[in-house]
Amino acid sequence: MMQFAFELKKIIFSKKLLYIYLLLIAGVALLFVRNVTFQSYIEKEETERIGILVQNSQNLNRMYSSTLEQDPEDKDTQKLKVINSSMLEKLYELRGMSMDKWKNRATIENAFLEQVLHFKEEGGAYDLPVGEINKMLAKNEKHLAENIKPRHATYSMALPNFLKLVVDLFMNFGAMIILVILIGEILASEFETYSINFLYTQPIKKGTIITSKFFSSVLVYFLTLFVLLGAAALVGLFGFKGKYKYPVMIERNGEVDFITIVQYMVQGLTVVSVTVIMVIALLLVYSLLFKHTLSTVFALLATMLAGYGLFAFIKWPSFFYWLNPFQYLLPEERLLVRNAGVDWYQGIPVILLLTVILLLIARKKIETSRIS
Amino acid sequence: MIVQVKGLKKKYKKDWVLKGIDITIDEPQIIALVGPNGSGKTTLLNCMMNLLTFNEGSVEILGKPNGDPSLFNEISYLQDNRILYGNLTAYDHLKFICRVQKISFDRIQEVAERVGMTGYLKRRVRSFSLGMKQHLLLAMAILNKPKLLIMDEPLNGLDPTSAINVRTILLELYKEGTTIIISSHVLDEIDRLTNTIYFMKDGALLKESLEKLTVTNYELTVSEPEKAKRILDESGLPVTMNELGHLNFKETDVPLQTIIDVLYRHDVVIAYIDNHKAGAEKRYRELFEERSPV
Repeated sequence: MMQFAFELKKIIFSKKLLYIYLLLIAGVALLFVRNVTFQSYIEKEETERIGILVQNSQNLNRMYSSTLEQDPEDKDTQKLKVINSSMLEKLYELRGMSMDKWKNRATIENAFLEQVLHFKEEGGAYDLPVGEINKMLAKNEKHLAENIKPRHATYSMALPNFLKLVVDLFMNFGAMIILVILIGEILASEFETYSINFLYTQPIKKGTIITSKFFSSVLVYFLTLFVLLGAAALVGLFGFKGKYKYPVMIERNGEVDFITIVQYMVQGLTVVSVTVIMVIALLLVYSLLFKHTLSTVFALLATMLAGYGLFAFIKWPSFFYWLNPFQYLLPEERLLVRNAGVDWYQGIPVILLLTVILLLIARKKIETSRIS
Repeated sequence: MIVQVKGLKKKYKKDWVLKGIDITIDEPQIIALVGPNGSGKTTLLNCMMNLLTFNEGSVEILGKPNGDPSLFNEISYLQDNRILYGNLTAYDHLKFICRVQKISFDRIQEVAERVGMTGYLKRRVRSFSLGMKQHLLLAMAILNKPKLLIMDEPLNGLDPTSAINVRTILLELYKEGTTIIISSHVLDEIDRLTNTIYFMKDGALLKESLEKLTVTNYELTVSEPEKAKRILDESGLPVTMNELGHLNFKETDVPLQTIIDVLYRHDVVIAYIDNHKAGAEKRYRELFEERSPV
């Protein structure tokens, strides 16, 4: 415990931590400012999207008219033209409707999408894949059923959606980058500067150096997460209230399913935190092997890259998902796609077990470790 | 038995840095470890403190093998100032030692006063000068009232006042029963501290007692330096004069009283005399004359 407090102090009172926290807070604020700035773009983007669909349908209508001029008795073309005209009407309705009337928009859009499906069934060619249409339909239905206004995926100002945006950035790259900058040198630098000699000449078991560095790093990680989410929550208060039951669409065994935005964030932060804890343990082992910060960080990054690549680019039997300790390095896809009976939490036990093994190795290694 | 080192050998790649070192210390004393850079002084101390492995031999301190961490409740190793953490305060360092060694926090103030660092106890180490860092290292080393204090270059970066203060503290600790092993290049200070010197040469240890050496350095501050120099030169007592006008006798065996008598007869007033033994330096030159002085 004494050692733990000392190690924690060493990190917390560093200027680096202060600068990183200031950068995080500034980054979150800038992200929010960006979202505020891009609010007008959301409407423009939607208008453009509908415009493309309108253009598509108008072209089809012209094509069908031309075909019918040559062969007025062509029943199939007549049918397709009728459906397409109806689709075009829905699109005109959508184009003229305010963004605030989201329920009406979702209802009309779904009617349009149903017609597109019908149109495709009748042999028409439309530039919207069936899978995409089904997802859009399900999403609109969910929003209507839950009475939750849909928000833009990237530029939302609603607090829960803004938090999700920050969490996505953190869990996909941020956590590992911050970890490497903040505690990459936690043990290796002690060998470089010889400050480890101070600890080695105190009446403490060397193994406790590892344990205390590990737990202080874990605590600093959670403190960083708290600062980040705190900053995002504070900044997000200037936006809209939003709803924490906001649906996030996932794919479960090939079917569309939904979890709430809170579930998504909790699951995401859980898997990324478990991975971070394992990476800290791995960092300690590498620090003892290389006793040099740059080599340690390089070896760590190479291991993570190799570990991720090994499973991202090679198709393993689903059983191996249980064993892959690097499956949550970029967890967004892992959270959104849950096929082959593999759920989001299945990699956690192996990662925790590996963490314990790495810690035991580090404790054993430091017992025989000397200055270089 | 305070220290027992038997046949200690250490090899770096193909070179033997320590070639069978034997040290036995039975009773409290001050021992100086002297040798040029690269002679193996720090390696020997690091091996003794279990910071480095060695190829052959054994080290026992206070009857325990040197790998026993509980030893550090009773001994201290003052090392290079790189062991300090720049983002922590001096107080943080001392508090940590108090905690792990179960020493009362009151001792921090006591030691800080003794070392003369109360003014910057709560300052971060990154803002410390070299001398301030040396003070902190000394405070850390004496916090636990060690039975054995091993010091690697404790006088580096100290101004003369601090060096005198350190010397006083070490002599006090010795009187209180602490055995001190001090590695230093400051031979002048070594001469003031002890007669027992271990010279390190080519990985071997040469133990010397300098009691038999009577050579002394004198520095005289006098009323008329140029006149005094001329008189002493004419009296067959060659002397040099520094830029401050002080007269220096280096490694002389002339009794001080003879010098005083000559000057007194010629009405030269002596304001101040600094005299101390010069055995370590003389012996060092004899042993390492083929090397450049440190």
